Amino acid sequence: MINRQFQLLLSLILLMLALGAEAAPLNITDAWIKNLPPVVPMRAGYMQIENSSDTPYRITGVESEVFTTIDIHESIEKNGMMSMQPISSLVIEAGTTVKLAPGGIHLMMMEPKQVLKPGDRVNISLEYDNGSTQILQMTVRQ
Amino acid sequence: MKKSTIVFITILSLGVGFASAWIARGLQPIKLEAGLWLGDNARALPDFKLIDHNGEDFDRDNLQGKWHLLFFGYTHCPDVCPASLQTMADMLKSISDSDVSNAIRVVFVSVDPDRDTPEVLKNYVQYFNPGFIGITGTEQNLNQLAKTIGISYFLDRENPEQVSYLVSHSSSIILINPSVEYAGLFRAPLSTLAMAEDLTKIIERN
Repeated sequence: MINRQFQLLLSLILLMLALGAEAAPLNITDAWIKNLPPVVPMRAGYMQIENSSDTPYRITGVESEVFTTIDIHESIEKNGMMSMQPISSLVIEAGTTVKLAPGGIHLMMMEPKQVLKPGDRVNISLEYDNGSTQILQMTVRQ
Repeated sequence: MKKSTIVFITILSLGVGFASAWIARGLQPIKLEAGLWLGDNARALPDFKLIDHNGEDFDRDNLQGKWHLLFFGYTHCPDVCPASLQTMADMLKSISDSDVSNAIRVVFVSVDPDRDTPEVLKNYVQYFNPGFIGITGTEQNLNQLAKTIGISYFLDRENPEQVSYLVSHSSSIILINPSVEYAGLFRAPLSTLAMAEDLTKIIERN
């Protein structure tokens, strides 16, 4: 019985890996969330997204069970003032790398549903305009 | 000439030499890696009236006797404010074994007093460093301080009932000297190392 359950679990894992490989053409590294005290109802998320394929990818949505909403924003300096602007979809051109980093493009992650602390891992999914999604893990950092 | 006279003259010349080199060094303008040093153009900060994160009055006198780094922002700012405060916290940590770090205090001025109550401010600033001070005040009093320092900010809010809104603000960090004069500034993007070197240079020379 245990053996059968194990086989089922293994098949599921393999299936997920296969699906992941199919749907995850972008290499995402250094995905992290800046930790803040619970009194602040939002966090910023950063990562490096590399598109080594020969087609552009467009991220149209970001979701996570841990946050109420996640939008893509960019901090822009204009006339000495920093302001944030929403980006409705983020294009990663073929053969390029886009870096989400402090003071630039970032994920605006609203209302964490649990208390987060440095070292915690949060799963998020990126939705692409071709209908595929990519699941990745972000680490909460000090 | 007596041997003792020669020794005396040699010591005297060396002393004069060192003294003039020391004075000349002090008179040279300080060139910063990451910021702007105003030197003789430092100007006195006019009086202002705000409150700190314990709800106590905070005015010009609270800035006497130490170097202060003033950063204007708001706690609901997810990207630039945490990054700037973290850089300052890391910078102070990197020089924590020197007297320089004891001579500096970081003050976060919230321009969003409706959401940033003293309690929220205290939780927020002390997360980065227990020594950081959060201050805020009425719109009028905040405007007055921001204006005299040349900081601009704008609350993108249609009416006072709107609870979710963004704030645009200057990202420069203002350096106030122990005589409470606007002495310099650091501009984004901030570097922990460059700021530590600049502040060490400034404080050791002044």
